[in-house]
Amino acid sequence: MNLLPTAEQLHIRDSISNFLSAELPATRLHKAAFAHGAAERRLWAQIAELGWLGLGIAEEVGGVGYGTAEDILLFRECGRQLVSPMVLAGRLGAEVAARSGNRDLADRILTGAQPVVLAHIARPGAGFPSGAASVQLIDAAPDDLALAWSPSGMALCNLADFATQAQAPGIDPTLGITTGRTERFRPVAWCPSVTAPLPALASILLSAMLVGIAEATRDMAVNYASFREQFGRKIGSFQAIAHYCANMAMSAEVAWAETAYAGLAWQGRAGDYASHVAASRLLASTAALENARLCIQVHGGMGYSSECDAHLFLKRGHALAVLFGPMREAWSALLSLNDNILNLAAE
Amino acid sequence: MHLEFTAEENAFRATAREWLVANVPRDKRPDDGPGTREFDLAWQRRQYEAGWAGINWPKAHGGVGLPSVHHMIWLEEAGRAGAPPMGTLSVALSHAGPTLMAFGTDAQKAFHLPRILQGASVWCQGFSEPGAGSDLAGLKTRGVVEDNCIVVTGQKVWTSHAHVADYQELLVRTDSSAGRHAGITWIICDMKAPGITVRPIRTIAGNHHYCEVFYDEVRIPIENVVGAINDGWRVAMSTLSIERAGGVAGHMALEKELNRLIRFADDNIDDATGEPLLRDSRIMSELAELKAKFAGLRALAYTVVSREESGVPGPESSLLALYYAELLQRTQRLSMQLLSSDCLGGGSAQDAIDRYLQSFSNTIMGGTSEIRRNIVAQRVLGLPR
Ligand SMILES: Cc1cc2nc3c(=O)[nH]c(=O)nc-3n(C[C@H](O)[C@H](O)[C@H](O)COP(=O)(O)OP(=O)(O)OC[C@H]3O[C@@H](n4cnc5c(N)ncnc54)[C@H](O)[C@@H]3O)c2cc1C
Repeated sequence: MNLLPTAEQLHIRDSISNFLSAELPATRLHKAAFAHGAAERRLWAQIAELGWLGLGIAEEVGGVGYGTAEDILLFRECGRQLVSPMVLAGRLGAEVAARSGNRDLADRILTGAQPVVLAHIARPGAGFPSGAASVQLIDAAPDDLALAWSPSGMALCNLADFATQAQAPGIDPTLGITTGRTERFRPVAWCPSVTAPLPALASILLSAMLVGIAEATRDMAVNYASFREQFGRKIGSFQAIAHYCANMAMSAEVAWAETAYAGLAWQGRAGDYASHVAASRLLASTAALENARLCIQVHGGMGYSSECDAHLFLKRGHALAVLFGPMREAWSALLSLNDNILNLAAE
Repeated sequence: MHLEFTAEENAFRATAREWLVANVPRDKRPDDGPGTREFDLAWQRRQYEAGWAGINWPKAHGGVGLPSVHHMIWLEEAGRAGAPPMGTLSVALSHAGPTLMAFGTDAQKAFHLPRILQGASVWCQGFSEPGAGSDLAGLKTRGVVEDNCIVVTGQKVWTSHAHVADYQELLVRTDSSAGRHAGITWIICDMKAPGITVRPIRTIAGNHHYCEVFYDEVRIPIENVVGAINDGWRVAMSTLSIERAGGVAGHMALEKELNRLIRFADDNIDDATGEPLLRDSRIMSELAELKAKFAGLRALAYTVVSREESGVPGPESSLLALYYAELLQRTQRLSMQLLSSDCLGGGSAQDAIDRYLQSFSNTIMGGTSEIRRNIVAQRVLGLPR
């Protein structure tokens, strides 16, 4: 047992983080031209080339052959720089294609030839993926595939299957939202959870992105509190501010530890992984939203300004927190009364 | 990053589990009085005789000499088996022992370490004073070097288990002309020495957990100094950091408690609605959040242990004790809420009420939560003072 990244994993994380801070820094989102996944699309071939979409996918099916640990390190960095959920959709979509036996499609996704976007379904029907459904597509463009989610599995669909309509922005205007409706799903690839529990993986990777938001806002707040002066002192020396920062550190650290635990438990298909997935979702969502809130507060008047990055993180946090199943599902998974989390690896 | 334990670690866990199931005392630990001491010493002796005492203590000091992973496994299994807490032995096992190993003389180590492991001595910690709590460096209890003794006069307060202890880690001011941190000495005080008066204090939970201790020209042999005279602050800080990193595996016992609450909420009816308490979405969300936080606590504890193995210090250990204390308190608050009118009396609620009241101490002793947050802000995050 060791929850710390190895030297090689740290190296991977650093190269990801260097690329992102140079090419896709969160501040880009102050300019509309870079929002709605536009910046990511311009770099899509390069992102595919770097292997991000197949990082945790086995080599036999065209992936890079690392594991969930590397995946969560990647998506935490994506969260820190508010990368479009397209990357998450691409990662999961490639695996759906590969697992459903469509190697050709998997290759096209992994090489960047076929972009994938998320199709959020608030209430997936019992017959998924064959019934009717309403979706909210995120950062979609006409020739993309849509990755649709339900607890029973994940499906890739053609955008043409949906009657789509662009929507006015919701909480996060840096995400492009299109609503769509289909009377009957016709997935081009379908991976049921019994084949591979990809919905749980989706939730873990999403938690990693939320942890990224929690860490980025913690760092912003600590940094600002270390140089902004009032009453002749650095504001970080005021205990109220220092304790906010300590709380931010605590929630980020715990959410990361549990996300790492959940990722490793999922990869090993430990008997209790489902409750860890739920726990990490709950901790990571709470940490992201709470840290973003405190980050605004620590920045004072500037925190309320649209020119400050803080609100970008808050809004993205809200948007990500609703993906892949409502919070109530996480509660039930946690309270299933079977002492899941108590079962130790040795059993 | 990996979650699997080695085959050897799993075998260790299995052996520990088997032994604990067969050997954990079946009688309830007394809550108060000299019985606590006898109970804790007997349990420690039992562990010692079976070779389980001092799992992470080096072999040279009589321990088993295993890495921290094993120690955590042991603590997890002890929690699972419902083993008693260290109780009156926690100062001896978690602070005095490690401090002597780091700073003690050969004679001090040879005398005290075996007694601690064998379950032959109880220690207490004489740090806090009426005028020096969070601001420990404000301590005033005087130690005057005279012949081969340090003569101690003054007062300590909130000293846990002083009334049943054999020895005390005592901090005294041996030089009042030096800076606040410079003139302090760490000495081993024999609690039976003439001139010591111990007055137990009743806590809000009704027991006599801690005491006031008065020193009237108590003569302590100079060879009882640990570290050097006037170098006690450094020694004490190392003790406190051990204390703050402690509680690594408290998660196991606590999680059992939470699962009990979940079952209780499922089995019991809400007076107002006639439905199981668990159907109340506020109770459900609080239980779910606590459950998630326990998972997080354990993952954080595992990270701390991973960090100890790697030898590179990280932020997690300062956060762990704070997180644990507040989570424990929140769990006990929920437990009271679930008890509803049973808390008035007449039912079987007394244990839950005691645990609830005791949990108030968790955010005070060993450094208050406010002080712990200061430490995180300044030492972990590097914020200005
Ligand atoms: C059950 C129990 C067992 C104990 N056992 C022992 C023992 O065995 N040996 C021993 O030496 N001591 C022991 N203590 C004492 C304990 O270490 C002190 O109570 C603790 O350090 C706080 O000191 P204080 O009580 O003087 O409170 P104070 O320091 O006076 O604090 C009062 C309040 O002010 C806050 N405060 C103080 N300074 C700051 C600051 N800089 N920033 C923000 N807030 C601040 C505190 O957080 C607290 O809320 C025990 C205490 C308890 C409750």
